[in-house]
Amino acid sequence: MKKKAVSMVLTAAVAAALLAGCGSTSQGAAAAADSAQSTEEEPAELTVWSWDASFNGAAFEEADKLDDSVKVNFVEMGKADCLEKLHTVLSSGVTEGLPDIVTISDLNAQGYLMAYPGAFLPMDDYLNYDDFAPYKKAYVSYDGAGYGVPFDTGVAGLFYRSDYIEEAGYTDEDMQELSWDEYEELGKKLREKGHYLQTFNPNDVANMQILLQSAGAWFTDDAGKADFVNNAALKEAYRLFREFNDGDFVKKVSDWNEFAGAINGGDVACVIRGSWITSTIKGGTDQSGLWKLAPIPTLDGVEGAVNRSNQGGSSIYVLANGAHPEEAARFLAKTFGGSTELYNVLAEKANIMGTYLPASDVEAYSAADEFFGGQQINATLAGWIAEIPSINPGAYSAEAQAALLAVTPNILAGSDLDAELEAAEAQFNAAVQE
Amino acid sequence: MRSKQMKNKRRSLRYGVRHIFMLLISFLSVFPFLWMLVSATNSSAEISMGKLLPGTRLVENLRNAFEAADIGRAFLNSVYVSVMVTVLSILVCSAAGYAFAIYRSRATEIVFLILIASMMVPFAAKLIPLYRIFANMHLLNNYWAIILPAIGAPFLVFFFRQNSESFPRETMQAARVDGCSEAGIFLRIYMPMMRSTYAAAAVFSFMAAWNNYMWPLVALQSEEKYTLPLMVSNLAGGFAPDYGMIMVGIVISTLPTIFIFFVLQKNFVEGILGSVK
Repeated sequence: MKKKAVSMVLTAAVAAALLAGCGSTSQGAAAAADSAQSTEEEPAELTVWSWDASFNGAAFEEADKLDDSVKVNFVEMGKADCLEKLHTVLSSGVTEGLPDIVTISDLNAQGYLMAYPGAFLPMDDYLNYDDFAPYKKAYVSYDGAGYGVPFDTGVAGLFYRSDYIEEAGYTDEDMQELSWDEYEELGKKLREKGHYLQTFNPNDVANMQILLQSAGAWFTDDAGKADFVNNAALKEAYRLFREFNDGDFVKKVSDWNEFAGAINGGDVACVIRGSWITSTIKGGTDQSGLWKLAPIPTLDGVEGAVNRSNQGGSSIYVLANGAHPEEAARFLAKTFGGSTELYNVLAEKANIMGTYLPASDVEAYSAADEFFGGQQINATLAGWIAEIPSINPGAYSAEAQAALLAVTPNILAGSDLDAELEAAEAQFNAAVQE
Repeated sequence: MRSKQMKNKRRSLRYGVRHIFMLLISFLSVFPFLWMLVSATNSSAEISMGKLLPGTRLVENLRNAFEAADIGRAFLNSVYVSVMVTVLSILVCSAAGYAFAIYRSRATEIVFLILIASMMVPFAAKLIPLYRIFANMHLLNNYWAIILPAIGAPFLVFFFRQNSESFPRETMQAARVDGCSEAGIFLRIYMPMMRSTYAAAAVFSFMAAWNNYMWPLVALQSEEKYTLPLMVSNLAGGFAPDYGMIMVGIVISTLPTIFIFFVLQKNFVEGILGSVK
């Protein structure tokens, strides 16, 4: 009995000491927070959750300079972390600690808009969505309302080594309007000269995304259902991937490291990716002046296919329950949704390209890029943005891609395409069933 | 004579095979560290191309890393949180483990079982409730939000309880006969005798706190409060990751755990084996 009493007293003492310690600290911190809030009147401090300080951080820093009525507090975190944290905070239903503004990658946006109705502020009253590239507007709209402010583009290009294709007997003009079959032909000729056409990673969906969007197609249809079996673009993509896999003209890689290594190491002649790949290409400083840019190849025989596409990109959203939704919306409309000057500075200082159409001919885009043999890379890319086909990525892109990746090895090994796509569709349906 | 030679030969062969095997295993476990250290001295493009020899970019990578993020402050934040968690958790958990081992009854056994069962709940399931609790306590963006949930670590309670089995009851009874209080037995006899158990627990607790990622990410709101793992994760957030710089960040965030382990290594091994000297 005595033993028990003593142990209880001991435990209570330790607990009391602990609580006393933390209690005083927390009160102090809360008081500090209160006093910080009471002095906020003007300018309003807008908290932004985003990733990549040299990209999104730089963009908000410049935007902040254009609007004296707000002060931006940019909180950086990894991209996956940012999305995860937003999920946690929104599902908890707690509004304390919500940021005012977040960036969400375009392929994830529909999932958030669907899962958290009322969490994001509709922006139709603040923005004219016709000012933005149509494909980007589709990403940020849900149920008839526009939510995000469309931001950076992942406009796709065919980046190539002019010295290698010259060895294979091609000129820059030959590269301008290739079909995918002609692109493959180029690969076979490059192989004879000891170069690879491009990298190929069966587990990377980037090439697939570019191919599909160039035909205005996607992994899912408008209702969010799998669009595999009757998807002409998808089938054509798999035909090409089979030929890539069977041929010796592509360099097979298994991760980003090998992919970047093949580019910087001079193994491959071409890269087809979103415009952001230029920073990786420029990592190979010894190859300056050798790279060029052309439009991506076209999917022949697929209805509506063009040589424009997109891969990656994100948009900016205002949280309806943040501390200053009104101020945040007005700030974004004034800067990212209304200032060609901002985009000019961003292009000049941070090589950032937006999707705000009035800014597609700003002065900074016309700069000649010595790394790309003096080509006006940004002006060229900016000219393509308005022509990118729109798609509706829905909320289940990730699940659809996973289902397809699971059957890809079988497809590449030569098993029946329709049967495999049906199997993938069944897997997708099982995964998204609620 | 001959059979003895054969035996010797066989024995040396066995030693040889054993050593080759151990070398292989050591190589497998050391290689990632080696790669990390070597990569910290190379440029991003060199790392992508698979360079495995030390380069000349260490200083530049260091400068880039310290320019890109306030690593110094994040380091101090991490030290503060980890030391607080370590000290408080081994105090509380050792007291709990001691009590569970010494003052046994049906009731304490049930409480202990509940505690052990709570180890089975994955952290992801606790994330949202924890967030709500700390939001209600107005402790978000406060280090106590990170420290408090880490103090009552079920594993450490379990660890101390198991090791307390080897605490000699005769010593305890002798102390009681001499008039020592129950708290005195714990503080003045148990604690010094269980040094190596405390050391092992400190290593566990420090490593867990130092590497804690998910919860600090969600609970801390401003960058000034970020711990080192969060800061290093930011370094990797760009469209064009600079692997050399990231590696420098990872080296910096790995060193303290390695240091703590080597300092407490001898005690750690004893503590794991559960011996009392």
